[in-house]
Amino acid sequence: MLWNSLEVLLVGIGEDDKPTRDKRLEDARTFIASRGNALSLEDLERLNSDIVQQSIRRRMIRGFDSLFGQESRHPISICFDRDPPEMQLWGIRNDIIHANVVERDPQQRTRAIFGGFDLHTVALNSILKALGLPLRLAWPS
Amino acid sequence: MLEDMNQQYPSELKFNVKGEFHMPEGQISVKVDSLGIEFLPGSGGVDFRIAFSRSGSTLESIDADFERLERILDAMSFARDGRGIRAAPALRSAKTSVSFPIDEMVVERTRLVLDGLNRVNSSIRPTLERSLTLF
Repeated sequence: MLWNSLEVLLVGIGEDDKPTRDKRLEDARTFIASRGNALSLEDLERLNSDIVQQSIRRRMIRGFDSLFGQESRHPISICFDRDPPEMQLWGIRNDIIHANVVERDPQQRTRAIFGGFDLHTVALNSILKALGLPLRLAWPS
Repeated sequence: MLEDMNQQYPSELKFNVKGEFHMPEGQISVKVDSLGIEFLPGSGGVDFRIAFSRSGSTLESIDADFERLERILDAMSFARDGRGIRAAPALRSAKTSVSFPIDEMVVERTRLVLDGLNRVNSSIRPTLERSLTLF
């Protein structure tokens, strides 16, 4: 529910800055040209999910950018980009949804619980920011 | 049915509410004018009750009143860091807890959230309300 709350908000906010079809085509051409002969399967996956199709992940990042401006690096990192990668909220959310988390495993349970605290901070701060209110919680590292 | 309701509840709707509520000692009710609601102590298995002023006597006004109440409860849940509050027609709900009470701080935060909702751009408001409901 908490993740859904965040996703609904960010996708809605990011919708205003959605790139046009022409812009996506231009970005795709630029990306392919930059890779040249070194174009890999991973590049094609990124091309599809981040540039052409505009995945949920990409739309949420756009929502964070619209909402927080320069400060967006904090929530973007927590959700999609931080080290260690297993503490990125996007990965934790996916593992829970795909039933890859075993509750009886203390390490996995700790990962989900700590991720839950961070998700609470990110969702709370995002709604407060959208409401024009001061943030209440400090960003976790 | 509408006539019955108008006869029985001419000016306000009352809900049994499942949540955590702290009633200061000796006080029989807590009225929050800025939210247009009043908390009444519950009895038996009921945690507490909300009395909510009605805006009219038509079906449309009832819909609007329910929507407003839901928005207040969502805002209040958010102000309580996600600890939910639900208005239900049921007569019984969970036993009272005072672990995270609805106090002045929560009421003030709720008012800030509702003020914020009134200020945001109308195009993003439904999205924000949905996000609050899911929080």
